[in-house]
Amino acid sequence: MTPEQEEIEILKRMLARERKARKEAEHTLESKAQDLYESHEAMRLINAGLEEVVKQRAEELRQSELRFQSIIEKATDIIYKCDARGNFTYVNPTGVQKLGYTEDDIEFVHFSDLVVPEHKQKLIEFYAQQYNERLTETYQEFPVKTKNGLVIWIGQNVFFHFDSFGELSYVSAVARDISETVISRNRLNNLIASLQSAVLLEDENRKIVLTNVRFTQMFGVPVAPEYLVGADCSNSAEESKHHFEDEKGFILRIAEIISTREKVLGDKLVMKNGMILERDYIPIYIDNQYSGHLWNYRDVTDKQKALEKIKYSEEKYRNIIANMNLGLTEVDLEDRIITANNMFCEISGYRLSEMIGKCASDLLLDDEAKEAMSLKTVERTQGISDAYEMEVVVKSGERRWWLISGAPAYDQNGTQTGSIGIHLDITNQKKLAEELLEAKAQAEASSSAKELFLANMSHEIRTPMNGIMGLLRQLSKSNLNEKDRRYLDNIHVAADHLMSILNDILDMSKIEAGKLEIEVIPFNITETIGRVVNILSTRVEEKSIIIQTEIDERIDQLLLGDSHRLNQLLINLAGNSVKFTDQGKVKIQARLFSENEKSQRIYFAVTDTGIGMDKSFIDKIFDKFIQEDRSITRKYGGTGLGMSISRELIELMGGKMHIESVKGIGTKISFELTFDKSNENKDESFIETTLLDKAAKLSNKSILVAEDNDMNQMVVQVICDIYNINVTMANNGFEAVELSKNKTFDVILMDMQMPIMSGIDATISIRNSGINTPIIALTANVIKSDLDHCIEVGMDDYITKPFEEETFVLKLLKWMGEGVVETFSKEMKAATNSLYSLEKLKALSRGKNDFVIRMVEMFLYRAPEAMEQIEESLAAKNFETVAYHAHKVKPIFDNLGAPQIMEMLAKVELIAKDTCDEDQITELIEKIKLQLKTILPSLRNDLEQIGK
Amino acid sequence: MKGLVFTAFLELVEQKWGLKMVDLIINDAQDPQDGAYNSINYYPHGQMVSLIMALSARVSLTPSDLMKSYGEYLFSDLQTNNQSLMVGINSTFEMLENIEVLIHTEVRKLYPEANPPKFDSERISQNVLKLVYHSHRSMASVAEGLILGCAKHFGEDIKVEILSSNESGTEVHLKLTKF
Repeated sequence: MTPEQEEIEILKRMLARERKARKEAEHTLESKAQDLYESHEAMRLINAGLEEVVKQRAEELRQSELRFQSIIEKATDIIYKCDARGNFTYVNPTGVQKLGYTEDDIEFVHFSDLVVPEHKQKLIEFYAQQYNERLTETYQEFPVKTKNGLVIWIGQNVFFHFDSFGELSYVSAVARDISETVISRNRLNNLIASLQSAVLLEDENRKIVLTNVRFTQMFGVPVAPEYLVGADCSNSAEESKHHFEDEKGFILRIAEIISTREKVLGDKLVMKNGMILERDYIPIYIDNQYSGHLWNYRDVTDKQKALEKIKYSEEKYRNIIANMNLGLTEVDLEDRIITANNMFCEISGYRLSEMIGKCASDLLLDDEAKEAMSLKTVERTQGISDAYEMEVVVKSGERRWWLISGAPAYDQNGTQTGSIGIHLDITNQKKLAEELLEAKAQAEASSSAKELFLANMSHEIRTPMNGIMGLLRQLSKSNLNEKDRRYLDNIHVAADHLMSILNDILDMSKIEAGKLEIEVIPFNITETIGRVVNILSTRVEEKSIIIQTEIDERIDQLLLGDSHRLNQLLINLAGNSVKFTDQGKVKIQARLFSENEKSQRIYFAVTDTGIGMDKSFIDKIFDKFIQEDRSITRKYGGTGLGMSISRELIELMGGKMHIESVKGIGTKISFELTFDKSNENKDESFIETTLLDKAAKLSNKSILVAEDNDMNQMVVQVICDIYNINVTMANNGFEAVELSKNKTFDVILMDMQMPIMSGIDATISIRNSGINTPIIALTANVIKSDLDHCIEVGMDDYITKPFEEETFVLKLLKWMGEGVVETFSKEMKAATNSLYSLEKLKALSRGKNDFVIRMVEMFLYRAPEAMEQIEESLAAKNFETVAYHAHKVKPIFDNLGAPQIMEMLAKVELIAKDTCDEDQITELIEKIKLQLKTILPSLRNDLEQIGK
Repeated sequence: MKGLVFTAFLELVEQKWGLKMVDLIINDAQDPQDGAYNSINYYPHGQMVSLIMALSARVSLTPSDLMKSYGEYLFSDLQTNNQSLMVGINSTFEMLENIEVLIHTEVRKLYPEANPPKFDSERISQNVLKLVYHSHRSMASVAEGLILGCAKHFGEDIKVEILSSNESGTEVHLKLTKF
């Protein structure tokens, strides 16, 4: 073969090879293309289905997402997501709203920012641990602070989402506002913590779930209750048995309780420290599955002690009731006896067995009492309890008086079950009371009889005394020899004393009867005190002591009050002073204490240098008929009523008596009285004025005197004779009525108590026959109501017996001499304002001018002489003679009616006897001499007038 | 084995020794494919070894030298047709260090049946790279040729030494030194 042929062969083979390779490639490519097509078709088909599915799934996903979204958004829980660093990436609306943020600003918040600072660290640690341990889910509770500052407690489930490398990719959480639960849980915890009971809650494995402080205290556990949670209790009985008295019993009982798992209430335990406990065991079943138990320990030490006390006191009272002197019964609603104590059996006479079930009323009461008792039963049903006396018939048939106190009895529900009665046999007391009542009535009767007797007695005595006194006075005016006059004076003194005793008794009985009344008429205090001094002067002179007066010049001339009672009072007090003073002086003071427009308050004091009193006696001084001791009575006499009457009088006039006394030094009695000021210029009381001028006015007047007592008739007759009054005597009321019809009288004097017809009846009769003649009652009765009665029946005035001539004449003048009153008051006024007054002399002279002249002449001679003697003695500092002369000359000035000089002389005498203060005496003498300079010429003038 | 390896080899033989040599070795090797190779299909590796052995006998060159030459040629052929893969690669060492990522990943994507060799590289110093060849085909010489082809492409002078090889030649340690 040629190379060309060979080359062609090679090329042919090459070509064949290329073709073959190409065909094989084409074949491969075609099959690949077919494959490709098929797979493309399949892909296309798959793709088409896939799109549909994707679309469908996407829609489903969307719906589901919407659903979830809606659930999440509407969830009441907080749902949120955080990135791995803890920043919020999503918070549902509830969360946003609860936390107080808006959706925009919450994304910049880190979860820890919300946590209340104190809990932050703990919480961060908690979640760090969750991360470290790769826990996907945890639950934790903590408080958060909302944007507006509110604290809410949330409990949250946190889910950690980790990626395939184990890294945290994000966090989702569901949180719930558990504030209320926390609050109520806290409240519950606080409640349990502060319970007075010790509480121990164990779970089914005897692990502590809950306990409180009280528990740890009670059993001396040295840790706080929260540290005990989780502790195992299976050996606790053994561990704590040492606290209890009965260790073994304690353990056995616990074991028994635990094994039976049945509720046990109020087991009593005594601890070694003296505490008494009550223990409850309460097993807890949840769905019938035992799941633990609760121990509850209460300290009942106090309760136990109180119970014991109650028991003791119950026992005590039961004993008291059983043994007391009071009969006790309980009856049911039908009055049937349920129970009775020993005493009731005793006082009723029945045995208990005889009474039980019987009707109490049937057993013990008569028909009358039953009726009364049925009323009580009705009252019991109304809840009324009371006490009453009732006569019962006891078993022996004897009638006894019982004091019954009944009260309804109730059961625990407040329903009445009957009544309870307490009975005391008071038969003896009742008898005693009746006797007492009788005795009292008798005593009262006898007391009033005594009073009546006293009143009558004094009246009966006064009437004859009036006669004795009146006649004595008249007798003393007659010419008597020295011996007779001394006798007469003694009779006078004795009669006066008797009268004062009588008056005291009468006053006292009036005061006791509340019948003494105080008059309010114008009077002059100076005069009143002057009169007291006058009355006492005789006695003073006899004892060679002096009586001084000290009257405040600011005291009004006229005040409204009861001069008679004031007089009596001062006589009583000053009289006492004189009586008990043997040397020294008695002083009567009247000082203006205070004054207002309407009244003056006057301070009175009677001071003496007498024997004084023991303090103990001062307290008794007002007891009637009391004198310091029997020797006093013997020495000084008296009734012992004086102080008592004086005090009563002061109190009646609105004052209070004060007594200061030192035994052996003297006594001062003081009081204050308020008198209204008098508007009157006129003075109706013309006491201490001369009667001489009026004598003429009374002359030839005719009066009718109705008086049954002979002696009193005589007294009236003698006085009337002096004044030349014509007297017609009537021996009783009837005669008086008859006489008054036949003749017109100027005045009728009417005794009250007369035979045949009393003064009252006679007055009524006279008035009824149209006779208006003034009727003046003559009465020994000074009780105001009686006097008022006189006025009521038509009398015009009254004269109380025994009466002084003065009083008697003044009353007659009042009713028979119009105009006289005025004249007199002027004269009296003049007298009080002048330095001296001859009225007293004129009164003494009984119209015999030569007596007056002799007296004045003597005065004109004696007064200057006495003053000279005093001055001489003073110059010689012979105070004894000063006192002597001053004392001696005093009566002369007294007669001259020169009280100011009198008083000054009395002072001189006192100072001379007492302090011997020369200056004071000199001053006083100068004053007297100054007054005498006025008086002496005036007297000479008077002398000439009288002479004419 | 990828058809490309066959077609490139036969092209190299045709260029260097002419069509006649191609026809001869196909004959000598009793090639079951009778030389009809395309780059798309896959052919058994043994046929490649038979062709190389037949050529070696005819041209009196060692199979490894032939494979080295073939490697050089293959590189320039591959480089020409796959320039995009080489973007950003500026040196042989870079090429070798990235071959697994850049080349074989792509190969596996395009030809899921392909089973390319695996290279582990270790840079010893700036100019020394240690390379370990793993392939059941035991054709480390082709790889050597490829490396030289690559060096030629980047204008580098690189010496390739075979440090060691296992008996079957499936794992060969190479040391590349750049001058």
